[in-house]
Amino acid sequence: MQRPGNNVAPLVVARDLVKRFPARGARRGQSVTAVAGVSLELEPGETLGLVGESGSGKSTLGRLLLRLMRPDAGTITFDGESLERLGAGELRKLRPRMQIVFQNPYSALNPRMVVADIVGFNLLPVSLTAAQRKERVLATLALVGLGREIAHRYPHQLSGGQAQRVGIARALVSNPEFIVADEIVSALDVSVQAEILALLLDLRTRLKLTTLFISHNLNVVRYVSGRSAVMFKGRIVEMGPTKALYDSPLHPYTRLLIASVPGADPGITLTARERERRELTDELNAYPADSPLIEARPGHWVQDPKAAGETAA
Amino acid sequence: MISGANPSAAPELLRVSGVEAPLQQPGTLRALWGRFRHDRLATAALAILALIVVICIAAPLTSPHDPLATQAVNRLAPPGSPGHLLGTDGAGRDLLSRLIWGGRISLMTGVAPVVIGLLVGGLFGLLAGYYGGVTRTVIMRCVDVLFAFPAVLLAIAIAVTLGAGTRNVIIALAVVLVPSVARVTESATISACSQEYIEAAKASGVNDASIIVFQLVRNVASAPLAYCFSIIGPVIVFAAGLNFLGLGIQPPDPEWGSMLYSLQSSLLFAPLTSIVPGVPIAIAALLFDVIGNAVRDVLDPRLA
Amino acid sequence: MSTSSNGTLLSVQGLQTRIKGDRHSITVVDGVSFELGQQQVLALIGESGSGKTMTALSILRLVAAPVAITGGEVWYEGKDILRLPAEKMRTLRGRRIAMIFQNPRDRFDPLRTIGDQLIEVLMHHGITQNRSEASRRALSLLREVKLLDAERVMKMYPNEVSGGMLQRAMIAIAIAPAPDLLIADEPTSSLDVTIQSEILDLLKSVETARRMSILFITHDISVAQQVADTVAVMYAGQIVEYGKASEVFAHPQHPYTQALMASVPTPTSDVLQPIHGLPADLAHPPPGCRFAPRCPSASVHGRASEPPPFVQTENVGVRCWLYAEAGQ
Repeated sequence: MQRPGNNVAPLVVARDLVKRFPARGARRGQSVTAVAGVSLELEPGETLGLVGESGSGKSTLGRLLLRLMRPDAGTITFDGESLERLGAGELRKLRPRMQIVFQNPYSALNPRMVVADIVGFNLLPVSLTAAQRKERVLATLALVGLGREIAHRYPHQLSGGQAQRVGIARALVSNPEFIVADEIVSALDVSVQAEILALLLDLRTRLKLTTLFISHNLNVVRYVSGRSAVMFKGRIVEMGPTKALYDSPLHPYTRLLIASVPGADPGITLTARERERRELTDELNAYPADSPLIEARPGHWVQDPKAAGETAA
Repeated sequence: MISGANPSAAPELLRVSGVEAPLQQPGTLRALWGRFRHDRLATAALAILALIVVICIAAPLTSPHDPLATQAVNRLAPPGSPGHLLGTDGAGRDLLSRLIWGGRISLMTGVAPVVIGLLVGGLFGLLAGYYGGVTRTVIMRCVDVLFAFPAVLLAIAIAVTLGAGTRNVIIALAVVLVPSVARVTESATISACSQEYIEAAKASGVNDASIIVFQLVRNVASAPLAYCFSIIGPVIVFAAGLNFLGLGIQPPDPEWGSMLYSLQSSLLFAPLTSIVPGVPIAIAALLFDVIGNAVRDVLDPRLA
Repeated sequence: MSTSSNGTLLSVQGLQTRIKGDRHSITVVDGVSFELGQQQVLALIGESGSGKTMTALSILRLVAAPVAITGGEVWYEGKDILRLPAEKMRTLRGRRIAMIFQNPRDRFDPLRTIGDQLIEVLMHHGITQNRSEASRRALSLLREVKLLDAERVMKMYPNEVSGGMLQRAMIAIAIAPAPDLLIADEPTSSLDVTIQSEILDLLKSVETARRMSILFITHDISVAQQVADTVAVMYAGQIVEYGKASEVFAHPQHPYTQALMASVPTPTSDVLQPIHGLPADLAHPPPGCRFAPRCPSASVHGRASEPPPFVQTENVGVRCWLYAEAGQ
């Protein structure tokens, strides 16, 4: 479906992923489809931004790619290995190569462990002596800009930025190739966000990381990702080079998102914006949900309402 | 440009000489003990408890009289009687001596079942909460079966089946405690497992046993621990009941609970004497409870 | 420092609020002054710990021990409301000055329908005399906040509606007694961006239609850009820059404002500049300017003593040595 740009095999390939959850609340016995048939590829070294609002399924998709959840349908391939065919033990061996960083640094770190142990824990699958482990932990902390004195603190003794750096260090200590960054700056103060984003940019160049950067904030995604995908109600509705997506969005949902960013169009009047929103929402509601993606421009994929119901190309 | 952490903004607690890893790392035993010592009430409680234990263990040295020596004359003497600091029982035996000698059994049958119950029940609760699904159903339904029996009947049934003796009383009580500990642990485990750091641990590729031991236990331990400390007192009394029925120690061997039971009938005409064995039970329960609270607080790094 | 003195609705002068801790007191609002005119939106911008929420709560005297308002005046309708007796303050609160919060779900009773809670507010403030009138009024309020199918929403419980809808309901409750001033504390921070856009526009249209003023608290500069007429930037309990929104955003003067704007990704950002260091420790504030430890232009003066309050340049006031020295 998506042809790799430079004859390098993609690192992560997902095909037709589906994930359902039993519905809570009013309707028992029914299920909510969080991910409704998503396919994508990540090439080594690239950062793919995944944009969506709540309920879009973006976090679920991130976890599916790491097999932290089992998909109800579809396949995931990591470095050529199909994850479905792996047993529990083999899957565990693969994990140090693909890691995740979470949104809330305080809940993602064990409150009763000190930083050195939190980061060192992820080295257990790697056979190292205690001394080597300690060295590696300190080196990784330094890599994310934290000094030795942080090693013996508890998470609640760290600032938000420091705690998030620890989360990043934990993900990096095993030298992974693939990272899922799930809203990693959303819970941080504005000025701290910039720190973490700068860190991310620096690290991915140095370490040649492949990253899935999940966020609801378009501006942030635009800043870090070369290519982006927009998710809506469990499906990717548009995907392509970030610049193209923002400069010439094709799907009404993408256009709605862009128009909704505060300060996006300072000149526009209130009524004009309301009208634009209404038009886009109407257009969006008219889109059959299961329209497949077509390549509208080179590398720029979007749902094609006219092709709904046909099998995907 | 990466801005590093600002060390000068570190909280005072950790301003250490910047050389190597500080001697007092929070979380090491020494640091935990240091924190425990801050709670003067708990430290005093621990000291008193230690004293009681020492006195009981050193019974041959500390006991003023032979605990089994009966006398027909000075029976049911009140506390403060000459020669008998705490009085005598219905057979004229010195109560203080019997308390000291009996303390070994009483404390043992109070603490041992709780320790066993904690380990076994805690393990069940951990596994049930961590794995969920079928594992959890199987474990918790078995636990529920035990719960269905009234504790007293269950303990008696087990003790009778196994035969008389202190060891079997301990086993019977442990079995009765396992379901409660398992439930407390299971619910603490489930709430800990819903946290992201456990998800992160599972994403690390580390095996389950290590996750449970290194990440989970420390977050789950305080609930069952607090419960267990608070239940030692009631368990001593419970053991007393079993002893009274002849399932544990045999008379005339002294034991606090059975002493209390056998003096019960003398409550009306020798009130002070008949409550004497109840006093160490109450004191022990209180001491364990206070220590338990402090232990729970010490284990929480946020209260440091 | 007023934008239009004869139309001033609220005037805050030297507001000071402290939290009394075991060992030290922390001054979370340190001499904050600003004015809000009629039919005007003032955005109070700051990160966590800047004191913006505390300022709002202090204005409404919604603080309790160990937090206490220790200084300053808040003038509303010719009276210093900090010194009003509690009874009078209670009638003011909600009726003349209303407040909406970040997480609407925490502010609704989960056991009563939205309609009931709206009716209760109407009856409590004496807007309506009987239930049926209150019911009709409630319905029209829900329509005013653009809740589709208002009749159905009246009968729904808070957990049955989405966050965006609940926020609209909270706005309805806030404007029910027709207040002059609405304090909005991060009302859209927990909402999706498309819903946020709708709510921001709703607030603006309500402001115009009802001739209200809004004190809008946010950490998000772009949100402030969309709604604000005037802006006050807070850092470590103090206002560091204050003035007409378009001016401040086009030409930020204070190094913190500049740094903040440079650290936020916008559609046109090329490089983000993080702000170095950690937020000021309010328990042990630095001896000089609070921002000096992190300021790229910090001078000896800035590190040693606090800058004088406010140097005026056209439409904007700045609290900074760079301008104080230049002005002299």
